[in-house]
This record gives sequence, structure tokens and C-alpha cells, in this order.
Amino acid sequence: MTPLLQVDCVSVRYALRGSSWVARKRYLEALREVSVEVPEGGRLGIVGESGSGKSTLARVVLGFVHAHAGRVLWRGREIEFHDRLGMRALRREVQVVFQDPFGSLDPRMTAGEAIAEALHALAAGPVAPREAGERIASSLEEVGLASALADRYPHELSGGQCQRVAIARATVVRPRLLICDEAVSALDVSVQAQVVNLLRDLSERHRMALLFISHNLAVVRHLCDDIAVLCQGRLVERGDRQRIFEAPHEDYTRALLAAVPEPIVRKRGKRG
Amino acid sequence: MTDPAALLQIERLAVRFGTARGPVQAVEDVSLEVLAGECVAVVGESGSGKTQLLLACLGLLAQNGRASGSVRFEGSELLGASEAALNRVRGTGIGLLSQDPASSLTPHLRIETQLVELLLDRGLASTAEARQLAIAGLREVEIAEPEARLRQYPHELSGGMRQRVALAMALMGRPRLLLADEPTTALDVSVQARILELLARVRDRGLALLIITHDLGVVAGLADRVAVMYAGRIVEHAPVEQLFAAPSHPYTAALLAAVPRLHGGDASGRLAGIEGDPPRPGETPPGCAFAPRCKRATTRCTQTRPELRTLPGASDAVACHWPLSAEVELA
Repeated sequence: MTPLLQVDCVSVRYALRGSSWVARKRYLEALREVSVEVPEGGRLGIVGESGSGKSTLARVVLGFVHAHAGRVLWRGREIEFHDRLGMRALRREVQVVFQDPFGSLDPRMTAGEAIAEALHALAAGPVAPREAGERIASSLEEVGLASALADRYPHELSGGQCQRVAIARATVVRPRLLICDEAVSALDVSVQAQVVNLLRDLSERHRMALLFISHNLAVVRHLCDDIAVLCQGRLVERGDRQRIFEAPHEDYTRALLAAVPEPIVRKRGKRG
Repeated sequence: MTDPAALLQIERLAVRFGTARGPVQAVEDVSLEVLAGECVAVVGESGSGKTQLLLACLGLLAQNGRASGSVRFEGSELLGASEAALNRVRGTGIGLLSQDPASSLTPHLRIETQLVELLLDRGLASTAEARQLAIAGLREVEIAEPEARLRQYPHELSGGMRQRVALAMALMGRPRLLLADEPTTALDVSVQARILELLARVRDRGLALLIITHDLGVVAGLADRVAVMYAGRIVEHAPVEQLFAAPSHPYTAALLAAVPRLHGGDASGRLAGIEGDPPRPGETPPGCAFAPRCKRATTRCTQTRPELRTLPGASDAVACHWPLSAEVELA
């Protein structure tokens, strides 16, 4: 079966500052021939350290960054990022949630307005006011926010509530793929767990695929079926959750797993 | 007048901020001790007051902040002490490692200038020996090619390297106590692991540590004792093994259950999140601040605030009307 999303041998390079037309251009290779795929309704986790290229990968799929080699396929067809009409239709199907819950909402818009804006901008045709009202209410309910919060501004909401609004805004048009770029990293542990559960519920209920980017391996383990490990722009290892966590093939993956401080107290020798 | 046992003694510390919307109580009734050579961790989520607690100890609160109670370092009172007196303690008595290494380094000065300046300023070295001491300081935190690093500017170093330079600076005055505020939060896991190793080594050499963190993984690897803060107060205070094995406060237990794990458990199951959000500073409910999110809460919890008390026969203190460990005793 054709996967929903296929990133096929994508390379991205950024021109380094200071290179001029006289000197030979120098580049930073952010991604080198990376291939991953997400099946319909699947949940792929992308892990790696800062500078590994995980956010660049998300940006390529969203069309924010141009890949200088390779292709991105959506349901088996190459995405033409310069085709504005095609991209508009694709925006309905691919949505994104970023790390900073306050930064991704307009401070002058209430939660309800922010969701309404996304609905009107992305829906296939005009949405009648009554239908819009119902869809906004149901998307708020779905992310676990009381309808009373629709009239609040971002500064009147907690970090976790803001992130729920961002998720409601991204999912109100029922995208097929939700890209989460460190979407739970800025949240407190107790709130993070709620949002991880929420993403999982939405994904299961609507068969919405997730491309979940995080440096937190434990969160990825709880959310994703497949995991891709990136290191310095290269795909180091790819596999299902159980294999990656229990029998990683690569030294890099093993080192990454070993580095996570775990909340387990091991007996320490007496210190002098 | 130094008591070798209690290096840092915090008693009934309260921190209050005057804001446009009225006073906000960030820290309330916190008592905590750090003994010589001991590592104490303060754990809490954002807004729990843990960072303000640490800043109050060093007299570094924002302009509108007021601290009351008592903070004694080696017997002498720090609250209300003069800047001159505080400066004698800062750096040489108590070192500080902050979350963001960029904020502890001056961006437009070479590493050498900053280290040498610090050493001369604190009277720790003569001009002739300062450079050698700076190099030795960098070596101590396992920085390779320290001479080359001295010539660099902070932006030329990686985040982990900057944090190690910051740690070198904090240790340079040979403090007896190191305060670390989220020392690994801004770093990648592998770099984080190296900093934790360094801190563990510093601790093993007998330096006392007070670590502020939200990361229970960091606590588990480093601390001897843990104080859990919620909404400005300590809700549980226990030796680290006990806190992880048998938490008494429902909040501690819920927090431990909410942490996603790398191993064990049901990876495909749901995480045990805590319903609701922590109260914002200044909006703390009456009674127990955790009551609105607590499954065990009764009307007593929403009306009367539980005091921090030591349970009979237990080594930990808990502020809860219905602590979890009490059940075991009753059964």
C-alpha cells in the first residue's frame, strides 16, 4: 500500500553566512539523503540531538525549506511545493504544532477566534456560521477544553491550555497528518503526560498520522510505533518501537538511550 | 561561629512580589537545610517557586521581590545582608550555576578575559598566576585544549562547552556550596549526561550541592535528599530512595507516575497525567493547593491547609491530610 507520506532521499543544505559570490560557497549539510515514510494513521517519531536535522525534516515536508535533492511524496505523488493551489489543498491535510505554546498563538485573538481563523482559511469551501460554531465547539471539547475558555486570550491560559488550543486549531479541519515539532517539550511533566495522551487519542480516533519530533526519547516511546534516529543530518537507524528501545543496532542509538537520566534510584556506595 | 553540620539553613522563608495586580506570594514557609558535603534537590514544576527560593538565598530577587524569614550560610544571616557582605559569600562561599550558560558568560569578552577578571576580582590569584589558574579550572571540568578555549568567545562554543565553562567559573572561587538552577535543562541528552557526571564528581569531592530541577531523572542520579515543591510550599521532604520507592504525598506519587519511562511499563498504554494545571502564583486556592487536582481530596483538604509534618516512625515529612504511606501503617 502506498504510504501517506514518503520522504525519499532528501538532502538539504544551508548556505553558510560569509560565503560571497567571489569565494566558493560553503554549505552546512542539514539533511543527507534521508528517507522515511509514514503510513495512513501511523505514528513516526524522529529523535536526535540539536543539529541532527529533525526540525529541518519537518520544514521540508511543510514546504518551508527547499530540498536540493530528493522528493517528498504525498499518497504516492510528488509534492509540487511551488504549486500554490495544490499547496493550499495540502494544508488541509498536513498541519503542524510547534514547541512554544504562547508563541504559536496570536496574542490578540481569543482561543475561539484562533480556531475559527484556521477553519475558515483551510476549509474546502465557505463554512456557514452555525456550522463553524459547532465545529469549533466540538474541536475544543475534543482537546479537553471547557467551552468557556473559547473567549480567553493566550495570556489568560496556562501553557498546557495554550498547547491544546494550538492542537485544536491544527486539527479542526481534520488533517491526515499532524507534524509535532517538540510539541510537548516545553510543558511540565504532569501536563506533558496529558497532552501526549491527547495526541494519541486524536490520532487513534481519526486515524490521523503523526510525525512526532522530539529530543525526549521516553515521550517518543510512549507515543510512536516507528522511530527514526537522526545524527548530524543522516538517518542512523529506523525501526519499530520495541526494536529501537530493546535492541538498538547502532552505537549512536545505544549512547543516546544510555544518556537519558532515568527516575530510578540506584544504590550508591558510601561517599567520604 | 560556623556549624560544620548545617552549611545552609533556610528557615520559614517567604518570598513575595509586589505587582500591579497586588502582592503575589511565590514562596511560603520553606525550611530546608544543606549539610556539608550533601546534595539536596528541590523539585517542582514551573511556578512552584523553586527558582525564587534559590535567588532569595543569594539576594538576587527582582526589584519588586521581598524575602522574609532567615537564610544562614555557615551561621551568618544572608537575608538583609549588605551587598558587600553578600559579595563576600557569592562566588567564594556559594557558587551559582544557572540554567542558561549564555546568561552567565559575557558575550563580547573572550573566555580568558572573563576567567582572569573573576580570579582577580575575587582576589583569588595574582596577575601572574591567573592565566595558569584559569587553565587549571577548565581542565578540572574536562575541557580539552583549555589554552585554545581561552582565546574563544562564548558564541564560538557549543552549549555543553559553555555550561562547562560556567561550571568552571562557579567552582573557581572554591565555594563550599554550589547552587545549580536547572543545570541541564537547556542541553541535549548526551551533553546533559556529561554535566551530570561532572556534578556527581564535584559532589563526591565533598562540595555540597543544592539543585533546583523539574527533572526527576536528574534527582535520582544525584541527590541524597529531595524537597518537592508545589505552589510555593514544600509538600514532601524525604531521602531520595524513600521518595522514589514510597512517596507519601499524592502529588509526588502522581508526578512520578506521569514521567514517561524508557524501560518497562506498558509503552503502548496511556501516560498517567495529572488532571488540570498547577495554580498560577497568586492564585493559590485555600486549603491544600493540590486539592483541586487530587483524587484523594476531601472537604477538609479544600478548607484546611495541611502543615508539613513528620509521620510517626518515618524519615520523611509530608504536608497532606491523607498521606499515602499512612495507609500502610493503618492496614
